[in-house]
Amino acid sequence: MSQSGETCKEGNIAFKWGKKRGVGGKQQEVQFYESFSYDGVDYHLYDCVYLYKEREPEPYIGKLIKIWEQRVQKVKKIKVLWFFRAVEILNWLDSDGAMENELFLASGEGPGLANINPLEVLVGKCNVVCTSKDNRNPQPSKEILEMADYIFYRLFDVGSCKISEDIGVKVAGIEAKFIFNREGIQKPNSISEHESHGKEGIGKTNLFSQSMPSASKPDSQFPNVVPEGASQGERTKQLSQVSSEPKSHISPKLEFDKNSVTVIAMEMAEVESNGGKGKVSEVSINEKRKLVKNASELDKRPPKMAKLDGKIDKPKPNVSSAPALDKNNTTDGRYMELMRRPDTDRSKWFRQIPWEEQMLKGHENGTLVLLENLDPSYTSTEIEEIVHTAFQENCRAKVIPLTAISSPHCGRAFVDFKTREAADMVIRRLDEGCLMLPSGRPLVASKGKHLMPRMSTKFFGHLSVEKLKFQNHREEMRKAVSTSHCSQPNTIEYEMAMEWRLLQEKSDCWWKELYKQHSEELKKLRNNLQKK
Amino acid sequence: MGTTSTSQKDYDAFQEKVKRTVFVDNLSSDITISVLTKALGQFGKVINADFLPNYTESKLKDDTQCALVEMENEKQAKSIVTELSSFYFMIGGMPRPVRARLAKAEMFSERPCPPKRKILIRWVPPSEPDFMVAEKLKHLTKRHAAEASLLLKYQSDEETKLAEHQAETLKMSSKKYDMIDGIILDGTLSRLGRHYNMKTVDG
Repeated sequence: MSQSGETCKEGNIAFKWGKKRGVGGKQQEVQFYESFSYDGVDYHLYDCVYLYKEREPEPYIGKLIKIWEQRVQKVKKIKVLWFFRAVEILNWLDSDGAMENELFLASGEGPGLANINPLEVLVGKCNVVCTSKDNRNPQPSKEILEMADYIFYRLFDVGSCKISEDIGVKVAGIEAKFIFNREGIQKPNSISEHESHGKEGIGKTNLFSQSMPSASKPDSQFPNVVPEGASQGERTKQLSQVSSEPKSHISPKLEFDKNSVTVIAMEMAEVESNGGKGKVSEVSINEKRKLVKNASELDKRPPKMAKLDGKIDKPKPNVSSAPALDKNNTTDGRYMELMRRPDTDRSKWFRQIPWEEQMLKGHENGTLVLLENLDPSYTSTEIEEIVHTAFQENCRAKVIPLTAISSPHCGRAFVDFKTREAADMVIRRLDEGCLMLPSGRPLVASKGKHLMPRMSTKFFGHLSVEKLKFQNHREEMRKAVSTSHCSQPNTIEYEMAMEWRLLQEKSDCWWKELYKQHSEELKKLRNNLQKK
Repeated sequence: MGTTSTSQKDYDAFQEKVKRTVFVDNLSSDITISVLTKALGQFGKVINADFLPNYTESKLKDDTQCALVEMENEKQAKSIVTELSSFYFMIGGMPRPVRARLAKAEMFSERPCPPKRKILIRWVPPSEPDFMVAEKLKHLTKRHAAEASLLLKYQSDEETKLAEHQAETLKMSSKKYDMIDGIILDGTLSRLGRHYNMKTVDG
């Protein structure tokens, strides 16, 4: 194995290329590598790594599938095959869900499969163990499983959005054996495993020189020249105090923001133990920032941007700047502004069928959903927009008007969807996930029921003396002669009316008391919310 | 943005409409719009009257209706509320009096949204501590709905009980009066009066 021996002295951040693989590109300007050491950590091809992106609650996780340097510009690149967390693809998870530390490897074709990133966005290694029962997969021991940061055995096809357990011959052009566990399973952050992977380098070079044209293609998109000292004069930016995630052993050290692309370089906590002192010198941080800056200038894309959303470059005025997973951002926690829903089904030529009729039909077809915990002041249109923004589903909504006895804290509405599947999906996602509306109102959904008026229902409280011949009661009503009066004292009617009024007043009191209590309970619980 | 923006003018007009509207409940299902209009027309000029759809469970037990009645002005609306709370006002039957209160914007099923309102929604990630709180809030919402439903049932039961009790009382009273009527009619009363040497009304 030819060790390049070429050590890049970029400030205090140690970087060293490891084994070379082949060269590629039109003028042989791309040198591929099999391994490198960055900041005291050895990385190998097919290692799983953390990549950090600002404002994301947790770092991205991917698998290194290509490492290269453009010789002229001295730019180091990595191609990363992504892992999805379960929360990112919640829409397509079936009822059994996923384990807490389970990841899904991207497969198929389409945006979100893999990305090319500057090498400097790497923040550390991640120990992902494959638990696939496939007989090609060296089964991990119990001990290794316990040490694993994450496990995976399922694939997520980014094209068809399907989850499967079948790891075929290749995933994203990578042979299956690199997807499965290695014979000697990757230990997290171990520096001494340098030797053990020597055997893999041989013979694989061919595979990569074959795929060379495709590898050099993305390179041409990048701006070619980067003024070396461009960032020298840059003012030192503040250290970010991003809290580190304890599980992953990484602590973010600084951030850099440019054109909304933010890369946070982080030091491995491992360095702390190596260096004895837990502090990285200012110089080192500055140098690193420079590196990151150069990197971000080269590639203005965020480390993992497109994911499942192909329309990333189109301006989206209505959605807050949420590039990733527009359709699927079940849990990214960002605020969404309401989108005006397309007027596709609101043909102006035909009158809509009356709501009562639609409700009855919706009840029969199972497309009717009852939404609760809305702000009572929301209108039907706003509710349609909320549903459209959150689920990209069109529906017809109707608020349930408040009456004297309905809760002033909780608005309710009936929503009728186009299909039963859509209705079920909305109920399920609102049950599992949590769609927060303003002022701390998580939306609650259930199957809508259309209450049929029973033929036998009777209005209680209107009495008649049988003998007084009131058979023509209803008919008289229709003629609407004088049928109203104020009760006169000293009649039996007056006395009975008094009893009714007493009951009405009592009812007023108990509803008031109930809702007062509800209001207090809600207030107490809402105070626990951090984001209101 | 986003939401169908209503102009401030439309919205203000709606607010004015709310002010001159009364919410009437404890209405029998036999009552029609024209009956209601006529009845409340005694207190002012009714512009518009409409029943509210009843989607609550109470519909299954007790067929009451409620309605929004728009009057000519706020003064008339207020006077209806005062009159109906100080007198027992019967529409289309007795002895359950009709009740009225001033309407609220939320009682209208068709209403404009306030202009320039922005609703921001978000999916709370399970990793956030807010997720747990939100789960509890969802649970609380469901519990509250169940409590309200139970109370509604209780109220409905109370109303039925009262109605049945009154029906019984009425039947008894009616029987009593019938008996008295009978005695008068068949001359028993005058015979008894003569026998005991007492003066009867028609004797």
